[in-house]
Amino acid sequence: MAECFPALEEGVSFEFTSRVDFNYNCLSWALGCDTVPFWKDKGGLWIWPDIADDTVEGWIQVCELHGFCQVQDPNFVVGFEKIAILKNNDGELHACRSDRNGKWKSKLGVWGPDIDHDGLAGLEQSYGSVVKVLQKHRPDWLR
Amino acid sequence: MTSSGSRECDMDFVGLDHVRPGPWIAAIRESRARRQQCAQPPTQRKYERFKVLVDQWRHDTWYKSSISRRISHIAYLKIIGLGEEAVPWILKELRDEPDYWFAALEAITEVDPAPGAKNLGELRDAWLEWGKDRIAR
Repeated sequence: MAECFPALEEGVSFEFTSRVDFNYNCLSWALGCDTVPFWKDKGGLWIWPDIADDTVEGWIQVCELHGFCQVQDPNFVVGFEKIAILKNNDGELHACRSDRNGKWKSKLGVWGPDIDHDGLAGLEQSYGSVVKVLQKHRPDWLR
Repeated sequence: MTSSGSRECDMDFVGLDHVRPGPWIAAIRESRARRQQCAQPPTQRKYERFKVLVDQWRHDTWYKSSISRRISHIAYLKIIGLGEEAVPWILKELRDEPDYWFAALEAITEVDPAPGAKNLGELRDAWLEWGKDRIAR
């Protein structure tokens, strides 16, 4: 963990919220699913045949189909759920979502655990920089 | 010559701990270690190679979301290259520490026990059922 995410410190800037679990990936977790990975490969779920499963544009389209719209600002806004898509120099993607209190929730890869973390900078070493932010209004979070 | 055909070296029976250190001591120790490794059965050496590759694959790819990137890693490809002999070991890994071993198993065995699997759990269950008599102990 420390080798891949040296800027994250357990108990300070992140905490584990699950054990290692290979049943879902970061994109499915970002969209609230923990029973199946969202990909076209065997064992995954991808019900959008005309959408690429390994591009930023493809992930944006899937998020939009789940009610999210593109925005510029990744910062916390009360009553809005955000998804951030990151891309590293190797073209690998990561997606994470925010909770009602502004914490970010990430599934670390296919095999890793979930974590809650402060901010997105701690993911940069392995996941690169934010390339897209989307948000969805969550009136249920205002009650 | 021993019954297995390997040569024994008289120096194997000489303790070295009391000998004054020198460059030739390191050479003897290294030579002994190589002979001990060669004395292991080939399957044992291959299994140890398998474990090293598994550790390397996990270390380098555990955090990656893209399955295609994970299974194209050189360590994963080398595991596939171990062939049929690795199938029981891979099944044991799949049972004890579930991970995406399906591509390797399918590549080696040319079998697909769960063509309609809806999730990774179903895939895993299908492979463990297919290989229940072959899982390594």
